[in-house]
Amino acid sequence: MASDPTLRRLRQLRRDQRAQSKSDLRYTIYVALMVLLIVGVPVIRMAILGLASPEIVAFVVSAAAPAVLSAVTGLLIAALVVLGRIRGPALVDPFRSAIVASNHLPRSQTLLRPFLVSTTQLVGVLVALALVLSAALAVAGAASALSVVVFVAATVLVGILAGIAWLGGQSLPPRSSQRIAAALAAVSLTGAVIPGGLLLTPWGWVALLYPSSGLAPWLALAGLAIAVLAASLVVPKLLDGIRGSELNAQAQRWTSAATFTASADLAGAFEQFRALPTVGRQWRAVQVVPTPILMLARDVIGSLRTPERTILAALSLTVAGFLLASISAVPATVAWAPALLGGVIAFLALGVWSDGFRHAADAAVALPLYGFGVAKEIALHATLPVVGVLVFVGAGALTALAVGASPVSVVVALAFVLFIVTVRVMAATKGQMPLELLTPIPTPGGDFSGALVMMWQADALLLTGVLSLALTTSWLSTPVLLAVIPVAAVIVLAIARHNLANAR
Amino acid sequence: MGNSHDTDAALEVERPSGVRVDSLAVSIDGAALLEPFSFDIPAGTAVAITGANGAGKTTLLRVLAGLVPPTAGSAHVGGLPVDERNPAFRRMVAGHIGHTSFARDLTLDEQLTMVGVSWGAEVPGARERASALLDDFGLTYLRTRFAHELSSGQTQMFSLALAIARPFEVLLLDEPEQRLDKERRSQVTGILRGLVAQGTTLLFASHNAKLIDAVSDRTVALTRS
Repeated sequence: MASDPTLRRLRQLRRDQRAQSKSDLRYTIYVALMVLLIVGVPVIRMAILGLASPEIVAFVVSAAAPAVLSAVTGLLIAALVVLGRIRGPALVDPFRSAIVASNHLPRSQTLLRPFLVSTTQLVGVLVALALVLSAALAVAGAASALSVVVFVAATVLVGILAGIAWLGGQSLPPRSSQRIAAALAAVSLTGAVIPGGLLLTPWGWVALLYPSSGLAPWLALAGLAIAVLAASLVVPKLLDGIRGSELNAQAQRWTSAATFTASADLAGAFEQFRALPTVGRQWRAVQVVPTPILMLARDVIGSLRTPERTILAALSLTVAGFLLASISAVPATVAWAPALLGGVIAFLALGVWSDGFRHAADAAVALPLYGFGVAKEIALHATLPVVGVLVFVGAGALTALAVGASPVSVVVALAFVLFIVTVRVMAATKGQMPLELLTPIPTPGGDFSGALVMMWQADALLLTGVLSLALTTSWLSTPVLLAVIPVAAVIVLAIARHNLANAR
Repeated sequence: MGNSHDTDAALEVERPSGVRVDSLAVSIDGAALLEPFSFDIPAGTAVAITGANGAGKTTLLRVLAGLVPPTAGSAHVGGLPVDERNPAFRRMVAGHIGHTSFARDLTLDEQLTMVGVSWGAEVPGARERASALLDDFGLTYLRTRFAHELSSGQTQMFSLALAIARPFEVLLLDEPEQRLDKERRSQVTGILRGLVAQGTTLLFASHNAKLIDAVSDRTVALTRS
């Protein structure tokens, strides 16, 4: 029992809230179980069987697999540091945030529980992924039971480290967390490519414990355990370092996003997390140059005023380019995976450079502010994403070329991501969801209107996903693909034009 | 039946028409948003549109801006039928009606400059105009701020500055006094009077008697039956 009366009242508040939401909790568990049974189990089974296919097993047992795992884990930890600034692990609802932010108790006491809950959830997800990978290796006969157990234990430990890194992102000043994330990413990538690099980092040690039929290097596991113990010592300090204003802002943002999501306004929900510029206010965004260059410079400077978004977009487009071009370098049976992943990543990354489209579409439904005209304004704002695609997708695709992708797939990757730019234009001009979609549609399986709302919200992403998969369809030869992509782009732009005309 | 009445019927009528509406009405599914009425305003006149909440002031301004089509009657601005697809009409009409879309990644100074450039001004000239506008609206000390960093009153002042940063002949404003303190209202009053003195046709909806008295040559009162 806590001795401090404020702490006692806070805990009582949590218990009361839990009692009130018991029926909600039961419903959530029911839905989660049904989703797991209907969707989760087949997907996990498919993933294990897919991973156990000869081509994939050949890769996951190859000498390169541990290095890839190390790089991916390191990049994940770096991403969590960045995520901490948007949504930290030590987060409670706005009401309790206001209490925590304003009372005299150390935050290492009041925020410890939400931090532990979030970290446990993160560890759970990582362990599930580790189990799927381990199961596939075990099914293929490439891993002993003991090595699987050790690998899962190592995953738990690195998961705790990742949770602490996530907390670091929430607690440390923005500039420090940016530098730490960049350093982590650089060290992870370097450690994965230099000889002996896996010995340098805790996530490298996890890679050394990669399931195999040989003996596990126990020293790596012991090192990980010591690293976790050492990192745990800074947790109270990190919790105490969380600023009240930041805690309240994160809680409000997430509650608003949940409200927007509940009302099927995903654009509004995403808006809550779009970083606002705070740096570079002395830079000159409007230069004395011809209009197309002026608009490109204006968009580049504007983008650099939210540097994390820009870096994330550039890196993501590079990864997307690599994945899309590598379709030709992987077995045909699994080509859908890099295609789908590459398409979705490219779509999400291009969202960063679609602010101009959104602003033009938003301004188009009011009294004219700009003299360009909407079509010209959108075309001028397209320069930055197009240049971004050519540079970063091109770089990723050329990297894939260097490791075995075909030259033609580089061209297809570039053409396809340029097409996604037009999909972004369409998405920006979509406007408000028609209220008719909320009308209930009773079916024997339940109300179908929810599915329609989801489809309306995610139409651009769905279109990207479907067409990404089409890239791997064998009957679509490269010349046909290169002819179809511009036609699809024209159709998508026509829809955007129709959207704008209807929005007025 | 709604009606409008001029408080000053003796205004000169030989000047070119600024805004003319004939039996204009707007309704949705039979519910009247704006009941039929007519008026004719000479160019270079400042007209205040008054009326209770729901009388149709904003709807009238939105019709004149081409944002809402009338269900009956017609409207002409500067001799042109209201049609936002017509570039000549778009060039003629500016305003601030409801929400303004800000460029989130540009400072106040740059946003005003971009508006000028988009209408064909050279960058140095557009910068000068932006500086002058910031000065007029008392926003010079905020010139390197981003729009999301402004208070609600500052946001209103900046919205008005953006609205007049572009060339126009007819200016439509919906409650320009919103969220402004006494000093800011007085600043806006001076700016609007200056615009009208330069020949701008101004239509503004307002509930503020002082602003109406200080700026308008004429009042159109909307009533509901």
